[in-house]
Amino acid sequence: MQIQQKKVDNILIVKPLEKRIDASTATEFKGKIVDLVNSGNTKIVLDLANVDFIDSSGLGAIVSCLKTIGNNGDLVISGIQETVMSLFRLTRMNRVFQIFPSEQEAIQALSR
Amino acid sequence: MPDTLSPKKITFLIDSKLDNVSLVGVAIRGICNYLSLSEIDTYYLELCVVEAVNNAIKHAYNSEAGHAVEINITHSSNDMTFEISDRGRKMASHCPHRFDFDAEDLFVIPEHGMGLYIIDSIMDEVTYQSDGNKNTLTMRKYFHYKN
Repeated sequence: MQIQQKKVDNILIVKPLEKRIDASTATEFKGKIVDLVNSGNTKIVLDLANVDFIDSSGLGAIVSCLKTIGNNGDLVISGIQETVMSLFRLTRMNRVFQIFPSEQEAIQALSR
Repeated sequence: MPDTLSPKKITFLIDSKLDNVSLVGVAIRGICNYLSLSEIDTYYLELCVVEAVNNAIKHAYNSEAGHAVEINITHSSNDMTFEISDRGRKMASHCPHRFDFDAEDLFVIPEHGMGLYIIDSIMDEVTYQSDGNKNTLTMRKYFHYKN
């Protein structure tokens, strides 16, 4: 799984370049994010603009990343497509994650 | 709207590797596009089939490659039926899954066990049957087409 990264001040923006986060890629995805957290990145924007399909394994991996950060920071989501958002609503994960329409709004929220 | 009067059926067969599941997903998406289903319905149907095939690979075959997972899709005038079959370890039973958690408590938020809940939430009928050494999860979704 290819992931694009950029840093704005102390906030890391992570953008998967693959269209799917599913059972075949979830473990690798989670491993990459956990490595970034363990390297000291505790404020992360996950930009899902390129992702048009997430299954329960992919969703579980994103939850796991949030738990890895724990209370030491936050992982917020931006750029989510409406179809993928429907999965977050169905599983009520929209109550768990802060979700912003744009990367800029997500960065502003983490800068407060 | 394509002709929906006579049932149409297609069968896919994949080897039990998670890498193959996206091919099934893309095929479901193509069928749904052909039937002019909405983006959300298309996503939901792809999701249910992907979850069912993932379950067959991970639980029936213990993530071991070299086994067959069969996907039968039947489309009739007002519904689509998906039958996912394996010849591995059978599930104890299929019953509606509860899925509830405290969103305020980070460490109780589930990372697993969402697949069957998703299927039960989206599909109108879900049954699981073991016949000899063949296990089949059948999922049916009804549509209400506007004439």
